[in-house]
Amino acid sequence: MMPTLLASLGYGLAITLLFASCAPLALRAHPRRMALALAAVCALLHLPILGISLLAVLRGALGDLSIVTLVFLSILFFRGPQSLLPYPRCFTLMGLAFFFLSFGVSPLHPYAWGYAPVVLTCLTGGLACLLWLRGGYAFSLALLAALLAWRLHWLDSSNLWDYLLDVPLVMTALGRDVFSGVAGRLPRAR
Amino acid sequence: MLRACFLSCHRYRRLVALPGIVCLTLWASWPAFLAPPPRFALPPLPASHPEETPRLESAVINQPDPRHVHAASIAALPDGGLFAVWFGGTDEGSTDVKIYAADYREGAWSPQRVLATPAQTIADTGRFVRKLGNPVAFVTPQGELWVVYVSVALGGWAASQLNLIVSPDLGRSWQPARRLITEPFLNLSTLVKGPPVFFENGDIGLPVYYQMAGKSGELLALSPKGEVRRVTRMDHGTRSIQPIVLVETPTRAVSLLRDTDDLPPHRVWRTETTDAGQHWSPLTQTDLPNPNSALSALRLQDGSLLAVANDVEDKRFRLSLLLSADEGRHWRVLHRFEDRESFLRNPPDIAAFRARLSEDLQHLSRMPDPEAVARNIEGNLCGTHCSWQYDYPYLIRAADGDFHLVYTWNRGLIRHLRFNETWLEKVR
Repeated sequence: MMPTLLASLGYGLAITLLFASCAPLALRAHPRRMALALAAVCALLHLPILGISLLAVLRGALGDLSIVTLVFLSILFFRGPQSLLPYPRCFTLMGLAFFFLSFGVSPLHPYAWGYAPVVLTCLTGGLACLLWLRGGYAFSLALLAALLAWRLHWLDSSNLWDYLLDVPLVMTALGRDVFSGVAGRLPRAR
Repeated sequence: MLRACFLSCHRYRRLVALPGIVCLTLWASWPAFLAPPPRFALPPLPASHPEETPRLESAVINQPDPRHVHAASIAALPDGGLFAVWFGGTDEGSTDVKIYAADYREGAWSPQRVLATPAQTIADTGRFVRKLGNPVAFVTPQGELWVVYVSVALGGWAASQLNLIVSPDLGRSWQPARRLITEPFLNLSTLVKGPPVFFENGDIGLPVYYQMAGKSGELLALSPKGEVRRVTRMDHGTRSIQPIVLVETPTRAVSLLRDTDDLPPHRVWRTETTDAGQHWSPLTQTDLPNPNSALSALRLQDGSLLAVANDVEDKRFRLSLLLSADEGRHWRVLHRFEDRESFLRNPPDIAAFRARLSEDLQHLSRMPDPEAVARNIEGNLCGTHCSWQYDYPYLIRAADGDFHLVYTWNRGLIRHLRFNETWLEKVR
């Protein structure tokens, strides 16, 4: 029940934010419209089309979103992108390295560390402390929420990594880094 | 006063939150501190009946519809019965493939029944599924019958995921399917083939394999509730899949793996663990040929290993019973269950194939509608020429001491062979 609820909320938030970015004046400036759009999207996700709901297709193809992604989406929804700053760039590189190693091309298998994760939980907690002290409250809260959700087993997975990272999050972060890198190199318009 | 306190807290809020973060971290990591290192549970000793006469019995489990069947596994039930599962459909990987099951009670196999479909798996897991694949059935130490089966949402077998269905009453009723989350990248690429091993703490060690960019065997540990507890990879690279784990002591086990290497010689791979599966030694080749096909094995009471495999480097026209007295390094053939080597140099045309197939089907065992079976097999195995194929063995030993082998017979039948210890001693 909880994994389905969280998946519905996560994909609902993502789709609503996509709509809001396409029509910022119609949605973003009106919190009530945003809330209504989110409720409508969440309901539509469960609607069976040709015998299968969009939520089942998304969960089948992409899996469940991590808790960190859910927290980020919630912050984006309620507070806007500025609340996610400062953004640690090393996060994208770590995510890419993690997924690359999981393909079985090297003896390292970091995903296995996420099952009995004394080291990983301590690292996550330590990183949350560090980020909190440096003012990165959003990231710190996201990591702590992931630890809490993992301990309470809110997703289908029992691996802490699945609460911290997911492919859409890392790909979005990569896209953002590449876009901001390219945009930074472009000559500014006068 | 209050205002001063608030401002002070606000100023130091970064520090005030730290004890909370530390407490949450310790609480999250606490169960992992308490977990003892896992040890293998030794398989129970089967009954021994040395006075029996040698016995090798044959049966066919499936019906002619669907036309293509594959990847059977069999479980010995605590009540003395047997339970077999396999997948069947128009073809391997087609969207009409379902998981079928049958029970063996009072000396005969029941009619097959559908155990899982893509639609049912979607309904149970809330996740899209396009096709189904390998199922493995086994009874847990808690007495539940489990079936773990492969499903694919998008792409080929490299995009496989695992699902678990549990029967608390040995196959009479089934709980909804659950998705096992085993990989980080979209949970892609875990498949199952071999029988499980068990741990002293009740965990179930399921030999699975990964085949995307790399290919390797893995030992997946599941809790008695079906939660994934840990995973260890046996190798990295692209040379081995489908591990069979053979426990020797609470900490030692050998694993045999199917060869997927491009380079010859094509041999079964071998690795071993001395810490109950937490680490595995580098792979070494055995002297058992392997044509990139699944094998099955078990450990006998005297410590020797008994395997059923296609002991050739190419094709799957032969299926043999083999024995190793040195932990799987060297093997000798005890018996050929199937052998069509004589056809290798002269592949049969359809007429010759039909004649031989008809003869085989008459001798195989009783089955419904042998003509339909023959048509299915011809459709599955004949192009310009025809070929024979006996593969995907799955070998277990029941509590009464009898050995049960199921395998795919020319892609059209699931054959069950039952032999006793006396027969094994005779061929040894």
